[in-house]
Amino acid sequence: MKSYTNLEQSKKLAEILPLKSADMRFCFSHTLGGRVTGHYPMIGREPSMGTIPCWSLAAMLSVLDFPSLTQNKEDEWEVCIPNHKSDEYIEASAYNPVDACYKMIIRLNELNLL
Amino acid sequence: MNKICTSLEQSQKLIELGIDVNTADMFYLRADIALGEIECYPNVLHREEVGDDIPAWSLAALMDVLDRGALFKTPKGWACQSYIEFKAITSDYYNNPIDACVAMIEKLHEQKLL
Repeated sequence: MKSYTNLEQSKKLAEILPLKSADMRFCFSHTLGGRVTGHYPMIGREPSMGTIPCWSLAAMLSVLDFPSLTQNKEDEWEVCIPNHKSDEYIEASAYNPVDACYKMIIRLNELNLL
Repeated sequence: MNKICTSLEQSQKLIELGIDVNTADMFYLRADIALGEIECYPNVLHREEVGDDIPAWSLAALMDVLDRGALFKTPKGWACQSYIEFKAITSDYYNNPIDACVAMIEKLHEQKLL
């Protein structure tokens, strides 16, 4: 089960969300010559040069306004929040809850509802 | 910062309840605990390579354990709900989703539904 945003998702969320909302970070491993050889996740923000903030499922849900997270009959995870501007609900779904939350945040940003 | 995974006590409780430790996606190092440092790490390595660790569960891993559990936030706090044999079982309300999920797992275990 995916537990946190991947590198690409993290970079996108870093453009949208307050960095203090992140609860993890990606660190990079380097050769002696400074070439990046890979990346790995760590708990905690500790923003510093060369790290990228990363969000766990708990962190993403915490930036949403009264979210619900359920799994439907097709085994998709659905995130749902109330849209106070229209008395309707906004939904996003994916085959894991992290991707569903990520899609929700992207959608809310596009709708200027974040 | 929001809670990112089960505490040491919660992790040990889940192990006592018989939750499969292979469903855990994070861990505490016993060596760190002996030094008075309690820090959680994402489990990106095979368990046998990590050594003598204590498993921990992120929110995503807990939701996977619950298998079709629902998680939601209300003004009262976070709660979990499961439908077992057409009967809704709801946890109490907590100030973070991790505690709500752990409480639900304990409740389902008490009722022999997990």
